[in-house]
Amino acid sequence: MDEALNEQTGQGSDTALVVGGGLAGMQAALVLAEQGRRVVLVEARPALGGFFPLLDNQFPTQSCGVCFMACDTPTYCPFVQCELHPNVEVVTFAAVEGVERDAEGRFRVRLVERPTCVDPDACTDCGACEEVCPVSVPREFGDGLETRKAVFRYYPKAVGKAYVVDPDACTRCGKCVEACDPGAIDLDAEPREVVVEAGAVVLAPGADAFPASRREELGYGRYPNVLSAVRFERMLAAGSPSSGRPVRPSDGRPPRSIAFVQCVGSRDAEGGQGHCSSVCCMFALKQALFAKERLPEAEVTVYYMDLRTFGKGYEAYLRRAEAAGIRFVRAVPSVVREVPGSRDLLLQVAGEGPASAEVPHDLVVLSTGFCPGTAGQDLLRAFGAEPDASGFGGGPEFEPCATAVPGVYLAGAFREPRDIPESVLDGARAAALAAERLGAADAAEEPRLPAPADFRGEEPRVAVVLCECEGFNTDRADFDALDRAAREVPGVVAVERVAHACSRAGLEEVRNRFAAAEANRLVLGACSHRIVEQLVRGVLRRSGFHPGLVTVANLREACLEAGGGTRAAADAVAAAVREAWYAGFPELRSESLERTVLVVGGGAAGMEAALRLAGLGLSVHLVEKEPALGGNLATSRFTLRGGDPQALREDLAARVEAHPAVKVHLGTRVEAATGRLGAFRSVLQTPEGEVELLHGAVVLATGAREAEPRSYGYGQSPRIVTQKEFEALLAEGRVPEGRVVMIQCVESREEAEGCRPWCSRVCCTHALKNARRLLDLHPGAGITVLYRDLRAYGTYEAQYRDARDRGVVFVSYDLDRRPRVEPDGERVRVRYIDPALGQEVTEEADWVVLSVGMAPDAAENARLADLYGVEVDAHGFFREKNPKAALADATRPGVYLAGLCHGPKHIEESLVHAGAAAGRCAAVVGRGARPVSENVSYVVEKICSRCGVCVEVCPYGARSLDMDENVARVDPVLCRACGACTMACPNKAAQQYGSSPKQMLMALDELLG
Amino acid sequence: MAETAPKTEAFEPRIVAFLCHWCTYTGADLAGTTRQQYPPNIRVVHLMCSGAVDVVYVLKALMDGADGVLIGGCHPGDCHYESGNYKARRRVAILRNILGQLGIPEDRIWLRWISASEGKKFAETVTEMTEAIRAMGPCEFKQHWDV
Amino acid sequence: MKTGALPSPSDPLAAAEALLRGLLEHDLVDEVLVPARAAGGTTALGLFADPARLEGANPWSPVMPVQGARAVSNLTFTDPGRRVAVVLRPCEARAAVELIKLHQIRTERVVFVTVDCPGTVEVTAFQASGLDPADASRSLLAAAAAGEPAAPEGLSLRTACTVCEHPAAAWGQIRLLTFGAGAGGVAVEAEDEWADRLAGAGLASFPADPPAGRAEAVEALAARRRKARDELFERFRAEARGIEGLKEAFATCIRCYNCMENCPICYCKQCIFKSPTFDHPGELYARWAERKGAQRMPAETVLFHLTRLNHMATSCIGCGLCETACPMGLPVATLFRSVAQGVQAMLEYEPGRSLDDPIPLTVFREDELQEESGAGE
Repeated sequence: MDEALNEQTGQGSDTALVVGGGLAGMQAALVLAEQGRRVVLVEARPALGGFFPLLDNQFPTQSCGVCFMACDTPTYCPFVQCELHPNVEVVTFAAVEGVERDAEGRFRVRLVERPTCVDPDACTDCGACEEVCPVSVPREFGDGLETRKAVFRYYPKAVGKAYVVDPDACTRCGKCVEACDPGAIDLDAEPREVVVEAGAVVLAPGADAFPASRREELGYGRYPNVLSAVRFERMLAAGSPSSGRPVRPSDGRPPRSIAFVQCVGSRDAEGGQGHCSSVCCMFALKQALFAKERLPEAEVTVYYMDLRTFGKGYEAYLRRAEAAGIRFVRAVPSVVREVPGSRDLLLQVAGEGPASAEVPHDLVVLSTGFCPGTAGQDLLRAFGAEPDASGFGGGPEFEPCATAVPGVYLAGAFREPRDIPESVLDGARAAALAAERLGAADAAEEPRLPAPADFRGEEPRVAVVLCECEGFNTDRADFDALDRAAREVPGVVAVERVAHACSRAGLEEVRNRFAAAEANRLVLGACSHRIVEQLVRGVLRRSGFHPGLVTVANLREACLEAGGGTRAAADAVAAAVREAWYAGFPELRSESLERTVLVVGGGAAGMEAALRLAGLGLSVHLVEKEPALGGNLATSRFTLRGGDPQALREDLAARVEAHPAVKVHLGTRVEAATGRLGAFRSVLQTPEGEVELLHGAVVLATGAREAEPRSYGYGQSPRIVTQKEFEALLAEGRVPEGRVVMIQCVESREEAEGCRPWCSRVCCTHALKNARRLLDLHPGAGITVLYRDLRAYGTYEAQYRDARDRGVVFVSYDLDRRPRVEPDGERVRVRYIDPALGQEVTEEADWVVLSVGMAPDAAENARLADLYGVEVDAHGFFREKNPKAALADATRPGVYLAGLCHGPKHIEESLVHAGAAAGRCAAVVGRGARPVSENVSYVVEKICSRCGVCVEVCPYGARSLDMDENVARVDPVLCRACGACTMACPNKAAQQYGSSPKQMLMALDELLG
Repeated sequence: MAETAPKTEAFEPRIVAFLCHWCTYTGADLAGTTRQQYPPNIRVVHLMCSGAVDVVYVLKALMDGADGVLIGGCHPGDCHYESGNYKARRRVAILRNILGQLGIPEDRIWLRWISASEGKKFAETVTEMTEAIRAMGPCEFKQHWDV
Repeated sequence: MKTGALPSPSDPLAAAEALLRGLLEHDLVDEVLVPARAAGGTTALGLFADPARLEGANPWSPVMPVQGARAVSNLTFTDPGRRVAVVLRPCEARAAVELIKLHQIRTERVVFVTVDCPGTVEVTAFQASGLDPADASRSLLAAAAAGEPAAPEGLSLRTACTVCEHPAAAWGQIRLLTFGAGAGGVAVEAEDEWADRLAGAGLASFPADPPAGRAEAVEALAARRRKARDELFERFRAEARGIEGLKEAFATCIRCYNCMENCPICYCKQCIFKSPTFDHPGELYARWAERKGAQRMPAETVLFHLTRLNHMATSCIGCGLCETACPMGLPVATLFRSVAQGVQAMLEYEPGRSLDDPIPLTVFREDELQEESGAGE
């Protein structure tokens, strides 16, 4: 270590350190970076991504979509965006080694970066090292489904320079060093020490996958046809050895009967895994659906305790899995045995039925959950905080993402087991808290760049610069022939070569050659647009040139790596020259955005959103239709985790009312609204009269309410009440000792008329909290909970266990055998089937408590959706932009969602949602301006027929018809340059810079031979 | 009446591929990076979205020299621009329907959903398409000067 | 919708003229767009402000040299500032529906008067026949009333008319019904609001029985037309298939763009083929010749037709005016419409049916056309 380079990066109090490069950490980094903060993003593994690169497809969309976690327009996968973002410095393969906190609460963090032994600036990614490496070890990515070399890419789809040497596996034979032409490999590279000074820290270390081998009796590691969920997930990926088809590892044949075993490493207090991992039911459904889709003949069975599909839209996903023919068995296999010879498997299943049986399957997938992981715990302790009793990060209920240490925030699955959507929300909220800690930022200062040289009206002069890629490209194409071919294309004034265009020095060389050629167009023949286009555009822009003069010809990935040779490369260069020749140059500018936000709804989510936004330097108008703030908090008396909602309500309301940047409008409703992101205009009907407000964004936080039950005798007896009513009775001490029967899923999770098909998520925990409070008051109280699936997810499982330990009886029922309720004077008779006995049981209850779930104010939400141009779903909740990665964004830019109006949530989850909405909103409107795309679309007014087809197809509402001037118009703030309008317009009055029809046709012709 | 192209060398199909930036173009990158070899008959046009592929580009390619056109977009539901791939799907269906009715083989035009992680599928698609188009022979349009 | 009777129902031409004049005289509209007798022994589309000038108005003009929907677009693309009644045949009305959806027609000040259509004949043939237009109309109406539309002796209906399966007025605030109204008869149908206005002005009386047997007569005719259409298209497809068929179809095309200029669905202010996008440098033509060995000039003729087909196939309402306008007599209407038929069937879209059906190129359904396309599916 004495030779280690001691380097200091980061500039102290305006820098945030994010530890953990999974989705939560990347979201935190991007939200901070988009707010203009400097971020150092540290990842322990050799590449960013966490669990995410493992997943080809995700529930419930059966696709990906994590690109939507970008605060603004999605561009790349988040890990590429983090790498590219000018405000983010990524440090991979690094660990926190020491933390100091000074008197002002700033952090000085010592990181040690392990050597990858491959210099990314010199590596040309040719793969020769990997080919010659003689070592073969199981690949940790995918839990050992495949093998890898000692020099390898951490995960296969990593694009770009991602090679790393595994020092533990490397035998130092030196073959890779010899094979590496550019000399990029140094097996003696030393660790590097980096010190980061940061004003705030977000810890998102992620949870570990439970090692399936710890449940020895289930056979993982001994029987090849028993897979962990991670290994099976890898098998389902398009790039897996079986190209995504499920196969039996023992013989490579497709299985006929697949069993999924749930709760492996979850809900197992004796095994030290007392929590529910929250995600396994959903990923098992996803894996089962894909298995069924790819092997329609196979039988697929899921063995479970409770199906916990509690997220938004997840219940529908469960219905879909049932419809697809997946079998669900409420029973937990205790032992798996292998049949010698066939290597099929026998599962010992002890169910709710009378006897246990051995059931044969020929492939078993263990739905392995999360462990908190000691790395995360150590990290938390290094910053001075402690994990909670479950071993996860935890933290205060009503300050989610905070820790005991000011300035240290927690996000993601390490805080508490959670899936991608919730991890992303966590990341956004943690970023909002961290940014607030760093101090309010002003509107972003646009970097002062020279006005680009104006080449309009000049005859095009094209300089072609070809990248040799340190011999990679020159080995695969005749560059002299390429040079000659390029010179034959009209307009080319110079053809130059550089050794390595994408390195820092190489990019400057490209710029210098272009400038020396006195050209006004540049064609860079190098690698993929994805790798080099933004880089070279940036260099030229900073040197006073218009970025639109660059056209990239992808020689490497599209031609030479695949064996296309000189001809393909020459065609690509010629096409790029034609494209460059006809390039147009939009004016480079930004449109300003109002830094005021309207928050609609003054419940927990609305108040929290207002406070977070104000904390991030924005002005806020908070509208509440009632005469007082509070929403549902007003009727919430205690929580399962022991929080005091009344104290929360008073605290939030007091802070909102006292905040100088928040203006509260009580008894007010939004009457009318026009405009778009950056410039909405809303009319508020206040008790004092109409107020017109100009604002850049809106947060909808209109809440939802406990529904009123229509069944089980509600209304026929004062002893039949809802959970919320029972909560009030308990809080007021008005429940005498006696027998209580609770019925879960009342009119929930059913498609029938008048029912709520969704799971309301909070009712199971609501029942648990009321049951436990009753036992606190009357330890002898008899409580029976009749449930369908008990959804005490995450660390709520501990309270479920506690309730059982304290004598609460939980009995499951099916929809076709529902409990029956008969009011009888002061008591209520409840009849239900006890599945253990297979008999009807009758209870004389003093109270029957109905868990009815939540419903939105569908009419009011529809009205607001109409005003702001967003969508509501079939149930009346607001629809999110993307169900995986953008839950706090509505379906139109500049409109955000917080709390129950988006879907049922616990209080703490509403606070997370509101914080995330604020963080993402501040990342867009907080900057005060938005640059117009270099590829923005425009209207050739002379030939525009005003037909409106472009308006219809624009997904962003960026186009409108001007009925006075009889042309279509583009709002450059909203245009995201997708080109939908250009295709829809029959005569190409709709065009976009960078791919006009002239450019396309001329380039195309060069590709036709 | 039918004239054959004057060239005597063995027929090598020329395929133009319109690839969307976010999925199929990235998948093609991955095919390159992971050294998936595929026939050199393909020429790539880089577009931001499959929803921006105009029928006039496809027809123009087929009339002026291409033997096949591949349009690659994000899987349904995965479009970066929300629904560009669905719009492309309609356009391509209309174009193929028209050509089919006119007796021009519509199977010179392929629409494929290839994600950023499907490098292998990209390589396989190009290989499969090259062989299929090779079997179909040169595009009818370019064999007739008077079209 | 109400059915009513006109004061002089025994002569549709006179009845229509009276009705239109009444609209002007009672200040129900300011102007009327309708075909009327014109110089050269034929009719032309006129926009009448003065009721006295309406003599010779003929909604059933035996010829249709231009598409009425195009004229309505000219008139209403920007606000005409006056209330206008426009008289349209069913094929013109269906084109108008498409153009309304495409914002080429603004409807605020327009009342659409549509008529049952007995068919039309080609303009040049009609002029050569020397027939009086009103007499020819009466002959056409009489044949249609008898259940079998036919041209006056010595003439024949336009091909497009012989396969028109939508000959009845089915849209518009005021409709003049002749099918099933008996020889020489006419009835009126109007939306309630217009029925009240017409009755108030004494131009028609409501209610009245709808023409007896009209629905059956229309359906029987439509069925025969569908059959004729399918037979024509089938014959045509068999003949005009493949590259040879395509070449033959356009062998004598002189690229005058008349088909496009007369097509109501080709609404572009300037066609892309006449725009700078297709104004190529000479080098390009030379390259094509070199690449292929030879190149037809002017180039891109079939490309133009195929592109146009892609643009208009979804909305083609089959009026056949492309063919009427073609100076070379190419069977373009049959070609375009037969192909359009297939496209519309695939997309389950019937152009001109309703303002509520969105233009197919602006929408999609997530669950449609699910397969990836191309060989090897």
